[in-house]
Amino acid sequence: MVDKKQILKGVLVEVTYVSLFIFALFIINFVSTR
Amino acid sequence: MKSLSKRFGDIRLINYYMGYVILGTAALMLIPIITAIGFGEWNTVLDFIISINIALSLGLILIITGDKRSKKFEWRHGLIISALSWIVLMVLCAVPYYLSGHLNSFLDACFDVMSGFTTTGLVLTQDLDHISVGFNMWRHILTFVGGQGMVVLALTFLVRDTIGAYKMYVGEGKDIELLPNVKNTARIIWIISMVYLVIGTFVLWINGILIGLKPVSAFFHGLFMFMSSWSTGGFAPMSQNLLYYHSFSYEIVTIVLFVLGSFNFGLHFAIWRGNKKEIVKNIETQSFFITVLITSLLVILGLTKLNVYPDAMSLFRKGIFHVLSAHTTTGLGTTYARQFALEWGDFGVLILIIAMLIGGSACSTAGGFKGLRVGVVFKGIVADIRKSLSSERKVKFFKFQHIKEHVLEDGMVKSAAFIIICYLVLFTIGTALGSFYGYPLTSAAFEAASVTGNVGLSIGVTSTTMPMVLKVYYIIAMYLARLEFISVFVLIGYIFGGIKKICLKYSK
Repeated sequence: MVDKKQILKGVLVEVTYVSLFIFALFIINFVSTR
Repeated sequence: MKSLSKRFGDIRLINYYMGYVILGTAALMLIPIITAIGFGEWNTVLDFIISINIALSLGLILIITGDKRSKKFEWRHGLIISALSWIVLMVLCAVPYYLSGHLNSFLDACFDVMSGFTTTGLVLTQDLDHISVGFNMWRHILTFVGGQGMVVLALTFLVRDTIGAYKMYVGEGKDIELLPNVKNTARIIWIISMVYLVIGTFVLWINGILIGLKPVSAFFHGLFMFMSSWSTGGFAPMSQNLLYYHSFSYEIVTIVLFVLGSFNFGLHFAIWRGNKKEIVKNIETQSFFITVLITSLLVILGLTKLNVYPDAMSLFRKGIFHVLSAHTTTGLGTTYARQFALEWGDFGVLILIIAMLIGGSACSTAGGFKGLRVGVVFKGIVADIRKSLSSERKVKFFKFQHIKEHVLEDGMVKSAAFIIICYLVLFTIGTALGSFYGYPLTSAAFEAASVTGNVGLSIGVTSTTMPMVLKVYYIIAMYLARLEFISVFVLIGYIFGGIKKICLKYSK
């Protein structure tokens, strides 16, 4: 099984990756509408 | 006679497990009862007491008449229990809906329940802004539990020796084993969801307070919106859906939650175990990121050409948000339904239809024909082309990464293509039926894609006034798509097999 520290690390990694992807979409959206 | 007693053995086995699934659902009804008592909503308490009694009675009758040792547990039993439970639960869970007085008919109540279970999110409930907190809790619990798998949840916690649990687990459209024991796999799925429930609700709660909601109200809005986002459901406590909050930060948090919810539970587990690179190497996330990027760019181009949204910010909050909501099959919206038909143009609507049909990841809460199948079919096509180009003597193996490395086999490509074809047939029939009843082709196609992909975005077709046949078809489409066809096909085959045997017996 997985311990608490690993779970928090995992959540942090997932949220970071998804946030980066959304941020990339935001930038693409911003650039393509200029 | 022997074949008939054999069939009774099947029925007793199915009864036994279905009885427990119904008891599990009755236990879930305690949550809205407690909520309603807390808010002094006595009518709602009474509605749920009546419903819980019906569920308990039926569950106990099935357990008493059932026998888990009457037959050896086979694959078909698991698939039939899953497929049948979803129908029985739809009817039972619709009782409090109907008693609430917010639905025009029992069929409408069944529609809303199936929409919740399958994490679709289309709504026929009337006067949504004035329903009780207890009833709202029930709507969101259904969508949250439906996303993780109703049958497996009930059996994991209620039945000690679930010999056939994996077979039912597959019947609910989840076919990944995170741990050797299916009970532990189901528990891991629930641990993942519960960790995000705590984090997501807390963030949305604080956000709700910051945008001016009262603390108690902000908490319940946060909890409901989390359940809806994580399970890629699309329900919201208010009729304006996410538009009600008028908050960019609220929208961003829900985007993160529903994108995470659309990921494979196996992927979450792999990352939590320290395999960070899986998120980049996995065929499903690769497929998802590429198709989201393409559909987003096309929607930006389409909407910019029509000059629907004047600045980059509103284009992101209305355009990209809906692409992500459609692609993850969530169905949360920041516009009114008719705006898609009146403002987006046919091109924008077409791109959303494609995104809704592709959907999220396999073994997640999302619908659609899934990134894994798109990736496998795409790799299969590429492999075929490369095989044709290379010399005949060489034997080539093609691999793909999905939690572990897999060798691409023809069988995988064929079964992925078969399921995609099933989805497309379901979508085509839905479109044809919608246009038959007089809806414009794009509107009919949009709504058909929404039910086929278990999305929940609406262009305005779904309403209490739509034809009864269309309501029934949408219920069937949501159900078939969520269970990914096979278990329903087995159930239909079993019923027809039984009828055929009875006919043959009496014709002799």
